[in-house]
Amino acid sequence: MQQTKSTLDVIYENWRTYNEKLRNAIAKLTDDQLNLQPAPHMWPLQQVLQHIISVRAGWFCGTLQDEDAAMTAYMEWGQRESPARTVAEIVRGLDETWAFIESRATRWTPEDCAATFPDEYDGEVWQVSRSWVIYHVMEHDLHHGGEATNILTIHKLQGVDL
Amino acid sequence: MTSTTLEVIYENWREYHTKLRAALAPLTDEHLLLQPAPHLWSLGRILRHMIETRAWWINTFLKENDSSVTEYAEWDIPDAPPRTIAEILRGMDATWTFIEARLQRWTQEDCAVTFPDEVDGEIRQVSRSWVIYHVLEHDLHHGGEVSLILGMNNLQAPDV
Repeated sequence: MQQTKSTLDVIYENWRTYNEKLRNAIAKLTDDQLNLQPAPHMWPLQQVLQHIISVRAGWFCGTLQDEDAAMTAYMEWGQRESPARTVAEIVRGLDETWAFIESRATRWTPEDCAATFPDEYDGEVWQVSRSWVIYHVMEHDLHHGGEATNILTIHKLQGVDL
Repeated sequence: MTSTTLEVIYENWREYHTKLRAALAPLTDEHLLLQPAPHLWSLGRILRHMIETRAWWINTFLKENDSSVTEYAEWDIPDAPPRTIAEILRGMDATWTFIEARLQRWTQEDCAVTFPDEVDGEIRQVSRSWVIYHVLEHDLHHGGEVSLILGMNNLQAPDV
């Protein structure tokens, strides 16, 4: 008998679908299109995407103390001095960070999700749970995915279609 | 008692709603006309679309039939009128209050119940769980678009 999916299972499945839509929209671009900006004072598409990738790695690998060499490298992306990346590198970064997240989120028990880790913010140390990190990174993905979509559609390119 | 992951998701979705609402509250009605490009929706249109989507999926589609949000399910239909910033804020608040009351009340069994949805002439069954995720995704994705429009115009966007 097929087991009914929990709401959390449905959230993870559909977050994966969103990641696929975003990576597929990016995969069609040229490297030059990663320089598109919504306005001269705002981040180019390249920076928004590097930020999505580095935030995924930073929270899931860094804050949650889940050591991984590839994720550690992605944590350096999206910084002020970070080099530009090609579309192929960005797509690989989206794929690899998603695979890392999904393998953890679908494995963790409720007890694992309740475990907390220290996070320093504005000089204060907060205890954040894995549950909070899961939500925060999902929110970050979708919010900046909306920004990336808007940059694409401003330039008449295909973004993520909900 | 420790919150479950789902409870944490719902709590922080509320925080996102609160931040978005706070970013919109200082705007004028004229700000709602801002567009990221001439061929794209204005800020006011995106916000009406977000409010309508919340009301349509959670109230109309899931057959909740709550009269407090019925009007919002028509805010983005063809020829729907523009709204003032005061109306937009009221719509965001009313639809959020409505959604949150359901999230807190629905059991896991309630969330697994399915409803028929027609897409391209085919009927598929979608669960309350799917609708919850879809509306969450819709809020956050379009919230990102709203943030971009605010940032393009040097206005304060929500900080995620």
